[in-house]
Amino acid sequence: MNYLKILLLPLLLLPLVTPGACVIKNPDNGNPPDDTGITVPPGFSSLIVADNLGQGRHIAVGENGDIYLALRTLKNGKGIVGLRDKNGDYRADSIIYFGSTITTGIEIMNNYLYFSNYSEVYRVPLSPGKLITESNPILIAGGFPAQNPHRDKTFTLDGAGNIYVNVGAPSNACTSPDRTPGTSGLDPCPQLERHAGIWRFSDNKPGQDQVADGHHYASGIRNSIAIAWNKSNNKLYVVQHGRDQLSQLYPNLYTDQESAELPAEEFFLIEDGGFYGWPYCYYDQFKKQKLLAPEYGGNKSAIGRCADAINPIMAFPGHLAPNDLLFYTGTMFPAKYRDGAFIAFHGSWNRAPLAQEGYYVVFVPFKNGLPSGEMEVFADGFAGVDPVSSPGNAKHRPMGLAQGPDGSLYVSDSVEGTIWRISYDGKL
Amino acid sequence: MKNFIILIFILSFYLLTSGKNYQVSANISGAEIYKKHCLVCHQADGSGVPGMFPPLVRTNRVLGPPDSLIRVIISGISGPLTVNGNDYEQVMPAMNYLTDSEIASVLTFIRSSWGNKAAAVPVKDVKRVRFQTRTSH
Repeated sequence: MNYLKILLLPLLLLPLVTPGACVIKNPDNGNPPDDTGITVPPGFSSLIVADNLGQGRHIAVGENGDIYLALRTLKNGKGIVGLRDKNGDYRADSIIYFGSTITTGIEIMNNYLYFSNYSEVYRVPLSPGKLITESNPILIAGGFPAQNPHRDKTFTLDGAGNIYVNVGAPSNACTSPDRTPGTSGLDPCPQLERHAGIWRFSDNKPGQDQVADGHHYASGIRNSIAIAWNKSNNKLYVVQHGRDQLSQLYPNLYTDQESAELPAEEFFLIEDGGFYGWPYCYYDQFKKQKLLAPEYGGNKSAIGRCADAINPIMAFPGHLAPNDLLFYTGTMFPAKYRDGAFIAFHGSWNRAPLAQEGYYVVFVPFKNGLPSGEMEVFADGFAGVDPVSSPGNAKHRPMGLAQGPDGSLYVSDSVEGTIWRISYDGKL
Repeated sequence: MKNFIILIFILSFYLLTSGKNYQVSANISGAEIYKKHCLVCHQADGSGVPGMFPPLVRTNRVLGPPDSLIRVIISGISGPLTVNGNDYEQVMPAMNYLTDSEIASVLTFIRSSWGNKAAAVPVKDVKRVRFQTRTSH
């Protein structure tokens, strides 16, 4: 039965993926001249705000429409790029680089620009009428351990004075050494003390330290680059990057096919003090159950201590790499999008030797703070190739999401730094 | 007698071609070792994963003198690592459980695949580097 589901899954996704594939397969044949390389649902349209900005991470859009893109590698020695449209065509006319460190997370709240690098979160007041700020950034939260991998300190703000910072796990499944066959998991996992969770801080108190000032809000979350506050019910949500390499590390337990599909990328509703399972557990979306990880004695069916870990509110196919989450509060898009979730799936790397999957932005409808329908591919075709045989072939990868003041949706790209604006006018 | 001559023929044919067979099987095993131990991270085309795992094509680390490459397989390496100006943050585990000839085969495969054209890696070099790695601890 599980095999049947595994085989059927690509077929289920096919109708959603196909519209994008049509455009991608014929890049020089019959596309409209303003083709942006991506496909959006009927009634929506997209345009390119700017491109070749650098290796983009998260993106923020202010109330005046100014756009700020975080850059993973410095460009012109700078880690943030500010963009402004001066003539109302939504394309950037003014592009200015600023900020001296690489940047991962970026948000605007109460006229402050918040941004993070790999170990600190800063904020700086936005200057009225100016695209770049002249003030010096103030450290808001720091003291996070230097780590590698999963360094991004992405964050979200609740608008009530708090900022929630993601600290990823510095390993695949808390073994030492990491990613090595035959090593069992450290138990208890010491990495849970300072990593693999979410820390809450005041959003305006300077110089806070993770240990001295941070509130350990949730734990057992491997890496939640995609983190967002849902204003409709005032709750925190994240989408987790699930663990990798089940079949490479445990070839006697898992086939490559199972390892490509498992475990699910988990969508969590975060409760204060909640424990979500990593590294002891992973979620099997076919059995619809948290299972004990093989590093901790799991055998593909044992549950053990995972009975106590909080289940996801939704499970996505494995390894799609959820890199941003946005709850839509605008009125430009049709009613079904209101309070629903957009998720940018950066795209997989470890579904090899199968074709990679993801590289699209999906929409999940919500009702009363919970998903009320299946995920649907909203924007697709970013990769420019289909299928994506390896991630390096992708021309673009959707990375960050932001909502414009008019309710349009902005998507950033990690490969070349393209920014798309997606709007709705109802024209079919 | 006739049977004996046929037997000699078969035997000599086997002996003549077995060297060739050995060559072929050495190449196949390099590709198979790559598939089993390397492909998931470094990808089928050796292009790696941007930001995570470095490419194995067109890089001096792969195409240069093989000692450092052999050392990476035996001892592993932790990021962040800069290759061709780009940062890669993931870990490369030590694969010292591979035999000397497996390491030589897979490195020879990597150094001659996807457009790479570097010399084969002899087993004796792997043995020497493994010995040095042991004694340096």
